[in-house]
Amino acid sequence: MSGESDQNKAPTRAVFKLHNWSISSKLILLSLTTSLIGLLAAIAAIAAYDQYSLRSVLREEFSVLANIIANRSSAAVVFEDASLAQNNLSALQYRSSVVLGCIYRNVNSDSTEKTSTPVLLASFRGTDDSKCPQVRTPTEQQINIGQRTLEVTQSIELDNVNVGVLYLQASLDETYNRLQQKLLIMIPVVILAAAISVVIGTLLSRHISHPLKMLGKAAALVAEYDNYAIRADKFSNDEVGQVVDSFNHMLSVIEREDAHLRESEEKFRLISESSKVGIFQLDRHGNCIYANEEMSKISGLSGETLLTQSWLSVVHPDDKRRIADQFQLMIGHNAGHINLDCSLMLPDGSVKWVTGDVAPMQDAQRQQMGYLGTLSDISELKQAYDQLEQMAFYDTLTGLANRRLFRNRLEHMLSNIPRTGAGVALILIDLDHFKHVNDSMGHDSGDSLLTVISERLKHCVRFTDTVARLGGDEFAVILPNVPDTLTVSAIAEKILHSLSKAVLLDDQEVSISASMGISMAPEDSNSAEVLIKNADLALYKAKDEGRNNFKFFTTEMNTMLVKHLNLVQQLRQAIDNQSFHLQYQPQIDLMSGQLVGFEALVRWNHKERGMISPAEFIPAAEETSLIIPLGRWILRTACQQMKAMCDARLINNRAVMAVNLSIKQFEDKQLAKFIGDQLIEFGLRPSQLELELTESMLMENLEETVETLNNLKALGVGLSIDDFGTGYSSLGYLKRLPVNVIKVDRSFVMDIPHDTEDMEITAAVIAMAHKLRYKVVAEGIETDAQYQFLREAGCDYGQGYFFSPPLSPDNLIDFCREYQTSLEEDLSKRIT
Amino acid sequence: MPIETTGRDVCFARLLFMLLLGVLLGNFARADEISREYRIKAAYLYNLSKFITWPDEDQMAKDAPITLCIYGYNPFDTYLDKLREHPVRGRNIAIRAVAENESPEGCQLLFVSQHNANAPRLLSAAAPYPPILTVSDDQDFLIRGGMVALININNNVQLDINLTRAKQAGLTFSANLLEVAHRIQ
Repeated sequence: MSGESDQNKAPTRAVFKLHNWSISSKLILLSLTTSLIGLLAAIAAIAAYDQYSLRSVLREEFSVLANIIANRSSAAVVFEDASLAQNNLSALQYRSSVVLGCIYRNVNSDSTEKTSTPVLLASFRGTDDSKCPQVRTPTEQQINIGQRTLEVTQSIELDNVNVGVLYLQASLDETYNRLQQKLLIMIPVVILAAAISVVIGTLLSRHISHPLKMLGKAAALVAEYDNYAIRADKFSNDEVGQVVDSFNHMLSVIEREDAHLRESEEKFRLISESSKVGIFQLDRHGNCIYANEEMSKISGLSGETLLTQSWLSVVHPDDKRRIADQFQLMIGHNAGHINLDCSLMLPDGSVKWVTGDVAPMQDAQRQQMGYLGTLSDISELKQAYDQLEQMAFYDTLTGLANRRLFRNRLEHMLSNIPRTGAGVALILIDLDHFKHVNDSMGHDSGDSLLTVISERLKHCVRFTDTVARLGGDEFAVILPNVPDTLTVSAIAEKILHSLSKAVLLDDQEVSISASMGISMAPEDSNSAEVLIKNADLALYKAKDEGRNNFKFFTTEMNTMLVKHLNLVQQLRQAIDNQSFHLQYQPQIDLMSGQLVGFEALVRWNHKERGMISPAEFIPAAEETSLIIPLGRWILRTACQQMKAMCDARLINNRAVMAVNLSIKQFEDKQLAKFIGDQLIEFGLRPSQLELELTESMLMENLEETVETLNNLKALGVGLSIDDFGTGYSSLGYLKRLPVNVIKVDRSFVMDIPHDTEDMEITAAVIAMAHKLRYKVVAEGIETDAQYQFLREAGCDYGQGYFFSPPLSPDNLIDFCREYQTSLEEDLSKRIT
Repeated sequence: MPIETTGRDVCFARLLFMLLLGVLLGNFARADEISREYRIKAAYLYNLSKFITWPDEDQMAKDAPITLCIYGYNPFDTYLDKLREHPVRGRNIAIRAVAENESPEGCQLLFVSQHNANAPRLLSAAAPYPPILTVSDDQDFLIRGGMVALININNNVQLDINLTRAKQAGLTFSANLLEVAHRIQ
């Protein structure tokens, strides 16, 4: 009752917002409610038990009372002693609750009958208005407890025979009054208990909520000052104390973590600031939230500008669209990592190349946190790369495509043929006699010439065509989309014409010509390799046919090539198998008729093809450097032959063995030593050996040739120029050569005596040679007229079929003997 | 010690009415019909036996009856025969007539009518007295050596008891009986 009034003190609305109450209020309420509920329950229990026990006691009491009275009254009933019965009942007056007491006597209507009627014998009235009721004879004691009254009906027995009835009635008001009194006493007890519970609740709540308040204060301080070193005070060792401990421990952990975090942040800042890579961070929406100093350097934007407008604003307009799309893809569609390769156009107008990437950042829970990106300035790298590319694919001197790029483009264009259907032409260009320019005017002039040539070539072709320098004086032009060979030949003509114009180098006008080989795709081949080879063949052919022209590749050229390659193969075998032999053609002193020497001529008797002309296999040997072992073999064999003939005294020691030498043999650096060794081995005097060199060959690389010739000359061997008059050698060059002998080419001799012009030239050459103190040998003397003319003209020596054809060693011996004999006979004839 | 009783007026009126009725009807009654007074006395005899304990009662056989003897003149006629149907403490009541010269041995209760009041031999028998409850409606029975006298006072039957004599005979009287007694010696 008092608990309810306490609760009612709180506003009704607040009761429903219990969670808004402070812990102390809740605790007080709890304490109060608990104590009240306990008390009320106890009171109710006591009252109920009291009620029950009182009734029970009353019941027992009256049961005993009724029994006693009934027992005592048996005689009174039996002997109908009403006064005694009355007397017995009078004891009831001492029980205030008794209202009525009656004693009945059983009266048998008939003594034999069992049924009997109780007749009132005596009564006791506690109150005036009570009256004995009609009763029935009970079998035993009957007690009825009603709300207000207790009734006992007790049979009065004597010797187990019912003789009468006792009826008692008591009021229960007394017990109720006692209960009421007890409850009245309880009220102040309840109020006292409520007050005590409030006091205890207050103390308890203060004990609990105070440490909690202090804990809250400490937490607030931590939050306010961001200082994790603050600790909460501990007041007790109970659960709150444990919470304080946990809180402090948590603060320690956070403090430590915070320190780590600060440390790693500092580390990151240091790394980021000192990094030579631009680092930036974007939030989840792509806004820049961090950029290091290097980013400012790269983008040319201040740190603040970077955060507000992002470095994307300086991306080069050409790349802006692409980069923006990439970002859109990453941020809008979670595309993940993106590469940034683009150029920047800085506010000052300069352009930079940058590379980098941006990748999504995830925390430990795989939650998207934003993006982290890096950016590096690769402008220098890009420049170096461009240079490298230039170097890798372009000729440094002329700026034309180099061999590699040429090859790439050619293959690319060839691969396009099936798609476009248009043909591709390949022109290989080789400058004629470029070596002369280099040799005579120096490499710088040569380079200048190449530069001029390359410019002219570029002017001759379309923009889409490719002009490449393949190396040295070799150039190539690729013409894609050409309809027919006519167009190509027109361009080739144009190039020939353009290149033939004189070039002014160091105040000198230099004329140069070019030879060109052309192959066509897809007619000739679709393979770049074959196409180049074919063009090369055609070029070879063009050069072969006198230079300053162009040739289209034909299948015959290919056949020739195959034949040529076969020849080279067989030549190699022939050298290994020593299938060569030498023939010797005698040389005669035209004045005296004396045998002065021989020219050694190499012969190849092929087992299938028969005799093969040196004109055919010597160039092949020269091309493949097989000329070096072949040449050595010729030299050695000729020397051996010479020695044999000297030993046989077939010739005198002034006779000379002339051996043809290819300029290619000059590549053999041991040549001079080899020749010296042969001379020593066969005991020949150096003057007995003469080396013949072709005029045109000598002129190719004059400087080196002269040096080698001097080395040979130093051995003491004779040197002669073969085929004199066929080349373009000027007398100036000729004078520089350490030559003793000039051989007039057979083409001059051949027409004697029909061609007077040739005869005059021959005579002039002989005269001039003599002026220069050269001996002159005429080749190909076949007739007496020729012999006579040359002798007249003062030619020193002659050789040819007129005297003897080339002879095998055996025949040579015979010839020597016979010639000696006939000469002696002729002499003796003259003498006689 | 005499005990004062109340409510006697009612009883008296009833008794009177019954008496008058009995007188009126008496002439026409059959031979066994007796006066109301003896009927009450018969009831008294029966009820008395319920309040008395005999010394040898325990030794008696289970089915041994309590023998009620009438000495000499029988004022109850055959009325007492009805008592046979009402056992006392599980024992039947046997009725026996004892002649004037006959020994009352075997009786538990001996009724001596006032007509035989001077039966000196029987009452003056010297000790040890046999355990026989002697009852009479003679006013001076106790003086003559009897134990219980049924006396008429104001038309009401009262009990006078000679407790000394009864104790001498080894009989035990219930306290309840003593309470209703008019006089106890």
